[in-house]
Amino acid sequence: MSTDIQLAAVPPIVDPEDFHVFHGFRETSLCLFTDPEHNAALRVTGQLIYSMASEGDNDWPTEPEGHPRHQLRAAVADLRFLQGFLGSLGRPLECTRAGHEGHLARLALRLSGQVAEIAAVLESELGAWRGEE
Amino acid sequence: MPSLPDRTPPSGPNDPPAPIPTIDPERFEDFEGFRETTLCVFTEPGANATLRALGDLLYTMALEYCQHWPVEPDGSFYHQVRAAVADLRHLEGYLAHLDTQREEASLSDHEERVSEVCGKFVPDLRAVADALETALGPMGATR
Repeated sequence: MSTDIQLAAVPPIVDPEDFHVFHGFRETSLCLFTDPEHNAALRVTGQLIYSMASEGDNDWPTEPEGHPRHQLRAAVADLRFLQGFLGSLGRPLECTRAGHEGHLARLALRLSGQVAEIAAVLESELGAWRGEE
Repeated sequence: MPSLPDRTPPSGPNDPPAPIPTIDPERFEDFEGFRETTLCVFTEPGANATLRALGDLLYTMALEYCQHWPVEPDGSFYHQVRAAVADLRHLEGYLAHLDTQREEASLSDHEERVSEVCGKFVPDLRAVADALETALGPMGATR
């Protein structure tokens, strides 16, 4: 196990067109695993688990509100997660820092609000109905 | 010999699916691990709960153990911001994918409307990720 700075795994640059390559674990979770081998192992495991579930035949419960609404509800949940994550990057202690880190923290806090607005509109579009009879 | 707990039988197509949680942003840390867009495929409640617990366990153990791993080249703060950008880009692509479903799948009227709304917010999400990425600058420039 190396502690060489050069060997740290860093978050990838995700091309939205290739989002499907990044199913599995959140990058905010994977970023903890800075050992490249461990990071790659988890990344591949996450993708494998997703592929096996989405491409295999199973008798799992169907989504009562339909596939698109179910998927959007998941996206909204991930937006709320990111709203919280960005908010934590912009917590008061970080925002009062001088220099670039403080600037970035304040920006993260502002963007957290923008993500919240997007999530709120999508949430209201979905409504409370989840396919109940 | 101790016995294993009773195993809950897997659900069938007509059983209720695993619910997608309503995430309180204040408690986002309770939802580290797998993306909800990944977990939503696992509608079988037992499978969904197992993966959710695995993600949580791995994340919790990593928090304790990460001191033994390589340090982040730009420091922890910038590293986390880069991870957030990556997740924003993932969601940007995911919403764009839902937007295309109007042409690629047979949807009900309401689903078509939902798909349209997804497309409407792709540029907004892109703008959020762009703003953060621009402020970050290239790797190494932030040290």
